[in-house]
Amino acid sequence: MDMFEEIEKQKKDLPRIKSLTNEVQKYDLNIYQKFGVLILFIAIVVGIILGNSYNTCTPSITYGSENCISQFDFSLMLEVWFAGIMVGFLFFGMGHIVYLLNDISNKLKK
Amino acid sequence: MNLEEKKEVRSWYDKPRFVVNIVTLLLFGILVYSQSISSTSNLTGWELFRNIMNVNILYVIILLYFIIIRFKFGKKYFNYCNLFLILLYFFVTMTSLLSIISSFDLLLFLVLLINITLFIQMSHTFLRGTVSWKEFKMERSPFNEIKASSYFAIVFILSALYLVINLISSGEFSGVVLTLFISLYYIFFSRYIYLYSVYLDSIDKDKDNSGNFDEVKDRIVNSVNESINGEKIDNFVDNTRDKIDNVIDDVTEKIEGMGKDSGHKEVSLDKSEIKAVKKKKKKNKDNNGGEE
Repeated sequence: MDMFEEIEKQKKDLPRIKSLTNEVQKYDLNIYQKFGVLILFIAIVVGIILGNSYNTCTPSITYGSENCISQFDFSLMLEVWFAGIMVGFLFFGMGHIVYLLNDISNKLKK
Repeated sequence: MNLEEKKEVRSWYDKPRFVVNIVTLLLFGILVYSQSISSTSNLTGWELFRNIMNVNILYVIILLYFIIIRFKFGKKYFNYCNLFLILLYFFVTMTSLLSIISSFDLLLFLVLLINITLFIQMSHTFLRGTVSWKEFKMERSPFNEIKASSYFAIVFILSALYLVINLISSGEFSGVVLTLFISLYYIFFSRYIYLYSVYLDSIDKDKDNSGNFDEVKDRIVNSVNESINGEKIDNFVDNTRDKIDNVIDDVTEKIEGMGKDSGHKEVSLDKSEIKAVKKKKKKNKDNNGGEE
């Protein structure tokens, strides 16, 4: 059987954008979680800017040429993204703990 | 040659599995060879890792893609993997553009053109047949008018140019080999996308591509013309006519036999009379249906 025929029989379709937005809108985020998401977006943008600003020089070892071509620095961008993800998840986790504590206190009051 | 036999006889570059194997080997070769060159120089482990990230991150991710689609998980989430690949190539295209702005180089420019072509080819191939094709209204895209074979031809020419320019500028044998691998990767990766597009055309998924459709139509017309070469259709008609005649004869004999047994007057039924009776019955039915 052709490779694509095998895949066609098993593959799942992509979700609709409307269903995704509906799923996301179900969740109410508190201020800490929103801050965590904001940090993620900022880290993505800053990573791209820094990767472009501090270009890397493709060394002669890869092309065997003595010329140095400055290119986008993926490693710096990924480092910034990684740091942003860690900090963003930290704030997101703190927000989730606050949400759970609020939930517990509301249930105890009842 | 029968149609079924024709379908099976395909060249090696038209077999998706073979092309995927070649791309996988090429990617593996690129990664191993470039890192073997790096390891000969005095770089620390961290610098080697950064080198992989800067130069080879794209090849690592695409190699993972081609490995994942061989397994059940990859086949099930094939569309998701393709979407990720499209987004990745969009990002790589943007970074290539930024690199060009910071330092113009002919090789970088060629890489940018190749990335743009691959991104457009992927987005107009992998999203076909998915919900996203209709949501983003991709059938109205002007790039949808371009034939799948044209995309492949563009990538082929650009890759060949890339190879030639790199051969001229490269001073070492290792650079030449690496450039050859990368050029072949571009060509075979584009071929893989082209073969998927051809497959989608064959199963008629949201195609709005006059070029491929005309080819398919011509193929169908030619194969039908070959089968309608006078003999096969006439034989079929004659055989069917004979069968119907035999059935009518059997029915006539049985009715005659029944008439003899019951002592009724013999009724000789003519084929034309039977047809006339059937037509009359059909007319009566239609008239009754109209009245109702």
